[in-house]
Amino acid sequence: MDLNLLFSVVLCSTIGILILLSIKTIIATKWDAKMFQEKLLNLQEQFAQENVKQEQVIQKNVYLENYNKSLLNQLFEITKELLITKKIIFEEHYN
Amino acid sequence: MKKLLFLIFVLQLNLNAFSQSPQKIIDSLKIQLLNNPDEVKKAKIYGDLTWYYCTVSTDSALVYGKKAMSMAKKMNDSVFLAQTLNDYATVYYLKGDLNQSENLLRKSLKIRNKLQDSSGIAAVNSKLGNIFYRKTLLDSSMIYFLKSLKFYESSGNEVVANSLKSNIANIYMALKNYTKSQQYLNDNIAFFKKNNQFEYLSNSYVSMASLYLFKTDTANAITYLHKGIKEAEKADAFPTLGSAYNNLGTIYNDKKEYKLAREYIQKSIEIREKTNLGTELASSKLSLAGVYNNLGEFSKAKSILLESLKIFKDEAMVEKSLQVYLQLIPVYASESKPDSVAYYTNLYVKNQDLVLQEKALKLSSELETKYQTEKKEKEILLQQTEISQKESDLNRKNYQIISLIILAIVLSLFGYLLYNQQKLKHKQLKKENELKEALAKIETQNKLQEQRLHISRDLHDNIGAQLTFIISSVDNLKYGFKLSDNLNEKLKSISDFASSTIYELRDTIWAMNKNEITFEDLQSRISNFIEKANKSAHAIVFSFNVDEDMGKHKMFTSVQGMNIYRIIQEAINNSIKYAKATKIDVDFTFENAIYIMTISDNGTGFNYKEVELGNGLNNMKKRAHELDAEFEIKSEINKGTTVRVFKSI
Repeated sequence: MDLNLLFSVVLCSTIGILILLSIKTIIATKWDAKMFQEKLLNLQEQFAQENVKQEQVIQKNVYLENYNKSLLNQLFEITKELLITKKIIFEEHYN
Repeated sequence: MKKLLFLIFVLQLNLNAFSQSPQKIIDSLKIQLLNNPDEVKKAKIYGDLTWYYCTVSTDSALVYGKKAMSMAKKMNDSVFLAQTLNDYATVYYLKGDLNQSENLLRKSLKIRNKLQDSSGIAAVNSKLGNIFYRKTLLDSSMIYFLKSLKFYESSGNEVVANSLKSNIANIYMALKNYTKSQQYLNDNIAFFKKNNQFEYLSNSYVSMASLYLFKTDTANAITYLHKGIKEAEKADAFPTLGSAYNNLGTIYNDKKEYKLAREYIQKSIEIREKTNLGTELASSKLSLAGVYNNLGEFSKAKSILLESLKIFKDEAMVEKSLQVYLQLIPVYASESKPDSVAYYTNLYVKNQDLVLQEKALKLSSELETKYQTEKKEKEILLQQTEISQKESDLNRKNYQIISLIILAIVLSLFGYLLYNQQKLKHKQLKKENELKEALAKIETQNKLQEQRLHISRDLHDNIGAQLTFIISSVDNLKYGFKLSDNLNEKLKSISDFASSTIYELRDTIWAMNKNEITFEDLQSRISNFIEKANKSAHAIVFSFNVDEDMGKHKMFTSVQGMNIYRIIQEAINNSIKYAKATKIDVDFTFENAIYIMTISDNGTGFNYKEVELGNGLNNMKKRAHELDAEFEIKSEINKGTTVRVFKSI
């Protein structure tokens, strides 16, 4: 086989293969970008959900903090009243 | 004889331009010359004089031609020099010096090739064709005629193209290809007839006559010669006319009709004397001498022959000279001069040998030229093959270089694309990691918060259980022992307070166990509360109204739901406890994109400005603020109290 012809054939084939690989790379890049976009959207959605959840939980905890204070006051009040009643009962019983 | 006649005629073919009264033109040009024109104009006049003198006097034409050429060289005007060389060559052609004429034409051709003057080149080629024809180098003649014909056909000059075809027809005639020659001539006659080109038509007729002579058809030859004479007379084509008459005379001489022959040849001589064509005139005179010899008028023939011989010798026309020697032999024989007879016989034989030798030499030289031409053609072919091989190599190399460049470009593109892909992947990965990290962080925080919630729930469960135990113990104490009324009252109050705390705790647990509360849920919870309140306060009429426009599926966060519920609870408790109301209304409406919650009673009311706000009212305000809503309270003594909460979408 003529060397020049062989060289030309190899050259043309290389160019053809490289063009095909370039096309494949372009398609793969676009596909990756699309996939990443979807993944990013999912993550962002998840992040937004977690944020909402956090906000709710924080709100609940803040509310509960206040509520717990008020509850403890009420319990203290009940305990105080019970102790006073106990004192009255003892006073009545031993007097 | 026929060949001779034919050659004489052909000589006339290219002299067509001389037919338009050249003497008058020459006179007018000379007058212009007397007016001292500038150098350029002068040179042009010399050139024109050369051309027009061709038909009148070749010697004068040579003088003016020389002057024109020297001026052209001085002016360094290539175009004019080429034209002058051309005209000068024509003069030599007419004088019969074919070598000098060819030499000058080649110089002209060289200049015109440089100038790329296509029409000039075609004109020179045509003249060279005539010269080679005269030299009987028919192949070369044909080549030059065809070159010239190609140009005139492509430029659309049909008249000149047909004139050249006449010349080609003559070559075929000389090559004895009569069919082809006749075909060309018939085409020419038809074309010239159609276009009224009488001069060319006369030439074609005379050529046709020559063809018939070659075919020994003298009757047709005579007919065509007469036709030629008729057309030539119309166009005043004297050279053709002279030639035609001479040919007619010669034919009649051969037919031994000497009187007619003499008549026609004398007409030819008259015409040729007018046009002053020396050699042609001499030829006609030679023909007349032949007639005189045949008529036995040797003395008349002798003077004419000697006169012609001088001209032929001057012009170095050996063949013509031979004919003169041959004619002189019977003349001197009639005069009984054996020495002269012997002398001219010897001259004839000797010159004939010379002519034959010359012909042989010419033939061998022609063959040599042909051989050299073929050799050169082969070399050219070889070189062309080498050049085409080199060109193909060069093309292949160029193709390979271009391919390599394309490869480099594609490779770079591919590299760039790969780099770009990796860069993009890296960027995506980085962004993804950042987002995942943030997500993980927020998830951890959420877990922590949820743990806190869980702890609170556990705490509430314990407290709930303990409060239930307290209530149960208090109730047991109340019913198990006989206690004073005062103490019973106290225990009831503790039990009620603990119960209300448990309800509150349950409501809170309900709300905190949900992430979101629908309006429907909230509505049912509020209804339950109102029902319980109604049970504890029978005298009060409760009404709970919800606008149809309120979205049943509206969602609240648990804290928002709890705040709404607490505001209603607080407002109703206030109305029951302090307002002595008989009617309490709870309304939810939706107007102009605003949610409005109204709790109103018809109780004692209070002066809003004078009363200091207690914990209950402040809590309601605070909760409304947490709901991002506006809080409004309206109260007048004995006119009841209205609490309103607004929230726009």
